[in-house]
Amino acid sequence: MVMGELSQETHVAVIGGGPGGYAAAFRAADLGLDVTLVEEEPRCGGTCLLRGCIPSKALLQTAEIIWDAMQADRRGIRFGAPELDVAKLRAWKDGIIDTLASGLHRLANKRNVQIVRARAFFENAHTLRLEGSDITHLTFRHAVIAVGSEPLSPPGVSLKPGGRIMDSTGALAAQDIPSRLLVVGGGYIGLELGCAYAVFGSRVTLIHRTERILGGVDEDLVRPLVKRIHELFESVRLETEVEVLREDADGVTAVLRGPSETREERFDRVLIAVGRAPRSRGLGLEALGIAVDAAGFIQVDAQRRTSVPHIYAVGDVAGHPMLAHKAMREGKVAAEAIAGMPSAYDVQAVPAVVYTDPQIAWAGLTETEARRKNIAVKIARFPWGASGRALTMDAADGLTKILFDPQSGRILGMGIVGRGAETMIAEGVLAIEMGASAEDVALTVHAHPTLSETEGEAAEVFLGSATHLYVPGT
Amino acid sequence: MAKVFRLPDLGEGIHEGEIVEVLVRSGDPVTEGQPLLIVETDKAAVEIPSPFTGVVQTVHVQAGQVVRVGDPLVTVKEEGEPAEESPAAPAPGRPMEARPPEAPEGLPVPASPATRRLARELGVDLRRVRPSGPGGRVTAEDVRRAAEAAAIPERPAALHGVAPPEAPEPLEEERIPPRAVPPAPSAVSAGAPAFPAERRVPLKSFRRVIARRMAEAWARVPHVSHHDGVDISELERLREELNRKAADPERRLSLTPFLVKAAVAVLKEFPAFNARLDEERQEIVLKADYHIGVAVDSPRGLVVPVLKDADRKSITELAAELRALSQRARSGELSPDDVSGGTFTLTNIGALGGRGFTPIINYPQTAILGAGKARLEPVVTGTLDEHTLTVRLILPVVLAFDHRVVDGADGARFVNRLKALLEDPKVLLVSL
Amino acid sequence: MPKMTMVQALNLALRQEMEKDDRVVVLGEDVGVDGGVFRVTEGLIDCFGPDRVLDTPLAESAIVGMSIGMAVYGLRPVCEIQFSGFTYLNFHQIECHASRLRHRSQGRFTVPMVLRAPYGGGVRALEHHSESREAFFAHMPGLKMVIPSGPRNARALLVSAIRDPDPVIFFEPKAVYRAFREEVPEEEETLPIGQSAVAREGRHVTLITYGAMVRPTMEAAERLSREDGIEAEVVDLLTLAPLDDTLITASAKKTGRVVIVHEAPRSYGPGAEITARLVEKAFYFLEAPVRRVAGYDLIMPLFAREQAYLPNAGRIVRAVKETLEAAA
Repeated sequence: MVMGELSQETHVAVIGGGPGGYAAAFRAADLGLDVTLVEEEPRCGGTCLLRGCIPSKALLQTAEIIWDAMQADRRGIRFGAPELDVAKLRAWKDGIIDTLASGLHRLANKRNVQIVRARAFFENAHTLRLEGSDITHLTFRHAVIAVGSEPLSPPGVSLKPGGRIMDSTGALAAQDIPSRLLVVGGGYIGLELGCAYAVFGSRVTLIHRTERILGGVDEDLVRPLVKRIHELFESVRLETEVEVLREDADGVTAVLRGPSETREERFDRVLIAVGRAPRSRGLGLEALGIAVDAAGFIQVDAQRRTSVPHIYAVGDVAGHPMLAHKAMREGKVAAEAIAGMPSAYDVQAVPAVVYTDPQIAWAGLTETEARRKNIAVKIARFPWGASGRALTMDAADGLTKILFDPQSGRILGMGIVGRGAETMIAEGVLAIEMGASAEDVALTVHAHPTLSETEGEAAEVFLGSATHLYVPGT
Repeated sequence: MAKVFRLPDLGEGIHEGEIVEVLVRSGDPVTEGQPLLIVETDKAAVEIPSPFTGVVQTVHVQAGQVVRVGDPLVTVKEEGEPAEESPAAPAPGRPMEARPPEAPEGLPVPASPATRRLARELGVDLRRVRPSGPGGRVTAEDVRRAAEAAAIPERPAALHGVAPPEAPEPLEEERIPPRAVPPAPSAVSAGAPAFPAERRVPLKSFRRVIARRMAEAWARVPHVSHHDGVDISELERLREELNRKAADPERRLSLTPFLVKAAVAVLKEFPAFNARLDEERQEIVLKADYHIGVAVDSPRGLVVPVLKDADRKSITELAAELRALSQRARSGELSPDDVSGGTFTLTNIGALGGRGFTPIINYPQTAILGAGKARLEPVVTGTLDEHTLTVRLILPVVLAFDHRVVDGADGARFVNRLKALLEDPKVLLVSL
Repeated sequence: MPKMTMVQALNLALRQEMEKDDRVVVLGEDVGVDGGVFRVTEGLIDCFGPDRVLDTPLAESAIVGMSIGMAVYGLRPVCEIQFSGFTYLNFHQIECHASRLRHRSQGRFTVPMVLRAPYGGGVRALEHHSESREAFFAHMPGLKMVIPSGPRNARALLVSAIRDPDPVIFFEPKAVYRAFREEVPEEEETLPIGQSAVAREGRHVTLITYGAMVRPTMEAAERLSREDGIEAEVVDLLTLAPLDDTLITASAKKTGRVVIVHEAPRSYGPGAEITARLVEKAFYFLEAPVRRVAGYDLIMPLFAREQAYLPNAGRIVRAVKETLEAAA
């Protein structure tokens, strides 16, 4: 250990090496600023890369292969029962993470972004105290807080690292395929991981606190997924909560309280996926007077400045939606604002994707939100049953819908359920950002046969000119 | 049938205004003539009355928003009509769903992300750009055009309005143009670095108009300022005596009406100072009226209410009118008429102090008279060898004028004549 | 060009010299497996092995004695003493042998070794860990005394020190070790020992300093310029012995006023020698007495009070103003 306290000065201190943090750091460095990124873990990448989006997609993609093989029977192909080598799957998944994480460090090096491995606390408005590093203090002119979020647990449930009661991190580590898995929480994380494990062979029980899974997402988009999980899961129980979880040597006893009865059941593992909370505590923000709202989110303006104007906050810690791509944009905006550019976070649509099979994606205004806020919209739907491409993919239960401003025909929102929704939603996002109208999308030629056609045709439904759907005139 | 009420043409030169207050909500019944909103224009806050009787269906604007002539303000459904406006949507089909037309509150202006970034860079408010794209879409070209238009101020339609007479005060925060390239951080600069704590205040309404007018006058008019000191000792004695006799302290006379009256008398002798230059036709337009603007420091900034036909009013009448106008200026109740039509402007900042200053002409007028704070000063009279020293009350005055219309000698003569009137009230009396 | 801290820049110098010249060896307490108390030698043992990166016992006299022997027999040892406060234990080896062998052997043997040691305060360390005793070594004939002030000059000077045919005492300002990053070229770069540098040009007063004090001195110069329009010239000595009196004399003649800044105690400190040199060479150009902003003639206080002991920009600014007023 080094003797004494060594301090360093930097122009921009970025706290947290996730997508928000590294996007801010790289952009600031590209704009000529001296940047130091403080990350407490050995690798950058944050939740997204190390224990979120990327590993979960590795598992889900694998599940999709197995699922497709199982469904191939109806096309006249028969595969044997899949054999899953969990250790190999894990190694393959970890290899992807290694590639991407070391890539980030190379990119940082090339840009002269210094990465310091330490835990950072604000000692005052211009100094960070670093724990675990040879540099004990970092003084800065501007700071970007990008410390992200962490999984929540229900009251009374405690998680041990490597235990049978896991959060998403534990589930993504893929220790084994439990024969009985309890998933607590019907949000996107619980559904994605529940589906993957179900396809890998676990008998999955999903419990959800309210009467609808994916609350807040339009019901017509969720419907095909509800149908699928009823096939895939052993049991789906709504309006059900965990009363007790007891872990022992060879399993977990769960007491589940549903609307009509309270049951005790045994599981091999339990996945807790009841949401995430911003990690704004313990950074020393209070002493600086940085405003944090009741939910723990740091309050920021259009430039992502906090109430202390030379300190910025981006990503999950700065508010919903907790999505990597929103964090990256915010990080760039903050870096540009620090460099004196007239940047602002004026994004009109942040796409959201649930990577289940079928996938659900939406952007901009949702039907649920329009109804809640009493916003006048016209909604055009194109069911995938009318799409040739969807039929060849066994995806007839998919749906593309677009929300329009009734007067101008301007596109306000888009929702998609079905395979490939993750990619297709991009057209909707671009349309919303460009202020495009139904005609703009309808008159854009979409390749045939593709799923993207359903977007053009949905716009044509609004205009009354759809080809593959007969809409009786008035 | 529902009728859309748009911002009407409020009079000379007014093409936009800021909504100060919305007085109705959707669902409220309104009768013709009932005030709907208060709009603050370049010149005054104006109540906008409803031209229809019916029920307010939609309010399109909110307080703080800047609206242009022709922008929709309120949709009123006239009595006896069905509640919903029938949308002209083509061939509504089965898969569509219509929702009650409670208009979305402030949809963002349709413009691509790149256009929005350009607007930020050029400091253009997208809501104020006239869109050329289909469906009201603002294009990058529209933004560039708006930025250019803001850089070259348009010619005002008439000669009057807001014009603070002295040099524009520094705004609360000066806009620093964004730097394209950030300064290279110096690794060696030790110690606590300095952080500029800056705050941005939008240039709104009055302040924006003041800024535009000042820049325009300064850019267009070659200003000359002629300074002098006027011995107002006798005038002051007269004024004090009159005020001692006045029963009502409210009716005390200030120096300003005397200055107005004296200025009018001199203007009659020097008509070129009560004029404007018509640049297009290359003519000097000599005014027959003597409408004297008087700068007033109001809470929202400087306004210049106009004393109409000052030549035909007595000093007491002018004093009473000035009191009323100042009161209205301070409470923000000036009507567009109160501030229009000036032919010459007076600015007296003596109450605040000041030995000398160079006022900016209330363009397109030709001249502006400024007065500072009168002070007791030693005055030497006589010859080099034989002289006497007296103490007199000296008022610093300045005449700024458009050198295209009049010359320096004219300015000197104007001020000399003004001095003669103010230094001897008897001369002033016979000139009225 | 990559940006580096001084620690990384010194590491680069050692690594490249070791690659280039097999005779270069590194020795000291914990310099191998641990990478040095401040991580300057980090990773060297992995590249060059334990034969060239030697973890020694906790015995400073032995480290230096061994280095002298290695140097005389043709190696180029670079020894690290963990803190300059521990060099007293090897004082005898330096004074009685390293500095004298060339003289004693009438030029047959030289001692091409480098003694590296961090010096100075400002990092809240313990007793014996914060002093500035460079004057001891600058006072000894037969030695060179080098003190860099930033990553780039540290690297260039260390390369020159390693290649120097005589013993070089290389004091590293530990307050600067990681204080800031600077662009340091990958390609080889050297700076001649014995030459000082003008870190900032000015015309009203000359500030002479070195090592960790360059930063507060530069800060003071910027403040004087910004607040009072006083343009101070700052000379960074880089080498204390031999003193570059050509440069300091020229600067003193130009401005006529000199303030010397060091954290070593005032009496018999480097400032005393510099002042004497200026009096000898530039006396008739001086318009005011030379002033010193230095550590006090006290045992260096422990960390709670060390900032009160160390010169800072405020003290330097005051001294400059007094100097300018003195003869005005």
